Amino acid sequence: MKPIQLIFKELRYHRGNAFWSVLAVALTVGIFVSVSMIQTSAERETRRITRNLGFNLRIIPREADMTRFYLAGFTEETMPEAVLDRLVEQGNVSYNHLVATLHQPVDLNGISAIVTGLSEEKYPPGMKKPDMSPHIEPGTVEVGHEIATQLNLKRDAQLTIGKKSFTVARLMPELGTADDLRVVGNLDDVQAALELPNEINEIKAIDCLCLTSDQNPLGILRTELESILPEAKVILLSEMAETRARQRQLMAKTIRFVSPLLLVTCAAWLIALGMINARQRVSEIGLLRALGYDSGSIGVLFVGKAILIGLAGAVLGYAVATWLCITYGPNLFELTSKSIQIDWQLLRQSLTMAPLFTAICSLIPTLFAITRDPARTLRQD
Amino acid sequence: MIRLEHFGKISDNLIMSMIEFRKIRQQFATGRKLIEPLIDITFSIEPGEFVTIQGPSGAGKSTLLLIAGGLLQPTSGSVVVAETEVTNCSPAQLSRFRSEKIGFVFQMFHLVPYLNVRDNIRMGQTTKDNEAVEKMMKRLGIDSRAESFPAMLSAGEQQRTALARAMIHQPSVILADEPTGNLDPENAAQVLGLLDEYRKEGGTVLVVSHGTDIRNYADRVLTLKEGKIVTT
Repeated sequence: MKPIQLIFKELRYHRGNAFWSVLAVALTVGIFVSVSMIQTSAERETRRITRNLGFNLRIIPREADMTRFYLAGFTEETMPEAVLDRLVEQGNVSYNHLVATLHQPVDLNGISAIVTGLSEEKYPPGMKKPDMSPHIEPGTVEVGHEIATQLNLKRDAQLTIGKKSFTVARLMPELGTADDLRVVGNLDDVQAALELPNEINEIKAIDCLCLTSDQNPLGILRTELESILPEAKVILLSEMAETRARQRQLMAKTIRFVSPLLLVTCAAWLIALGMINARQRVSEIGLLRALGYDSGSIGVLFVGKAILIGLAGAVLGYAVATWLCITYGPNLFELTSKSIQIDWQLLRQSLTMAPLFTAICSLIPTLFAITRDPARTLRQD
Repeated sequence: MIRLEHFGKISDNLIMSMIEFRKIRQQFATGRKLIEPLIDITFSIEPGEFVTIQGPSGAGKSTLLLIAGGLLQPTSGSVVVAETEVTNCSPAQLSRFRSEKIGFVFQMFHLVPYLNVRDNIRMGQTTKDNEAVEKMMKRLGIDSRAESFPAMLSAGEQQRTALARAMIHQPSVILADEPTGNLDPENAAQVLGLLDEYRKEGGTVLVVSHGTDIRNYADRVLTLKEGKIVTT
């Protein structure tokens, strides 16, 4: 009889033991899958929230007057747009989501406003992520609430800035910040309108160190920038960066704490059930020896069973966790609810790791089984 | 002299008997006490012989049987069974020896609880031969219980299943440890009759038993007392 047939028949007979073993694996896999899906969703949500908050790094010309920068909220000094490409090409930097920006104060029909041009987001090689900043079509602008109100602008209205005319693509809601006085357009358009071709005065970015202030992220960022762009300096919006870092670290810390605890609990559970099963089968093991089964054949029965339990637990745990995340995840992550979907990569990982884990956990019961002295079991006197 | 390359080497003067025990000594330590159930046991069983070993509980009858089957190593001495020096085999050689040459029958049947009668018998096969299994079940009168599990069988049916499993690969030797110990007289007679049939077909049978009925079937009865064969 083939080992696989024996394994299935034994699983059916000792179904209680098999049920609790599959449950242990399913729970472990389920928790890993849900934590992983929640982590992905939380990161996505954080990214979205951070996007709404804005970038946390500002790279400006070294000679920028910091007094005017902080008073106005931007610097009028410019630097070549090419510095952005230089920063991107360096790779291996702790900056990401890089956006070249040009801010200038303008007068729009007697009203003081700030015109901001935004480039497409750029990423160092291998660090491509979903865009955080809005894409603005050439020839269009998004207008701040105060400007739109004072100029009585509607959507699709025409607005002239410098020597260029733009279509109003979007009227921004009232934000209660200087952004209500901002008109945002495509960088190339704004450079042309302000007659500042290839000039920018800021690169907005996100730091990907995710360190809190006590870990001195600014020191690292400044050292990196110094060697690549000596003509620029970096300012970290520390409160925003710290919030982002703390949120990401919280998730990572949770996983670091939960993972070993979960693995140890599951391993103990599986080993205990495996030992109970091996003890229940002492007579059978003795008989198999008497019938000429060697240690390898007996080991295959135990390890093979463990692998099957691992596979069943992986499928069950993955299915339940995915269903729960898809059903209840949108309540937790409202902004990114649509992106909570089946993760096939996680299924592949579950189907690989769970059987491997159960096989390792079965080694102690297997060792017990194959080293069992058949004479002890089978002797009558 | 016939030698099987994959089994242990045998001594030249031991090849004629089917089973040959030579100066088998077995010692167990239980706490501080040393027990010696077998002291220099020497005897042989010829091919086609039906031999019974009797003796009081704890006399070492089962120990002797397990040594013959290669499931227990004696403290000293050697055993040759079906041209194999069992006491000189590697674990792999012993596994192969048991699967090809030996059929075990136990008092407690030791059927696999999650296999039905047919599958339990198949466990004794080294090659897949469904027809042989069906014939064996018919011969032993358990064909109507082919799909039944051990828990659903009477003691007699269980022992006949175990006997079928022991005989299905046509071993040279059947080693039976109290095969009738849990059976009523009618079933006991049936099982002993089947062992006798097997002997008549050329097989060798070594049975350990308390019972007296078995004397009617055995060619020889050996009595084991205080670690020694006292009557033959």
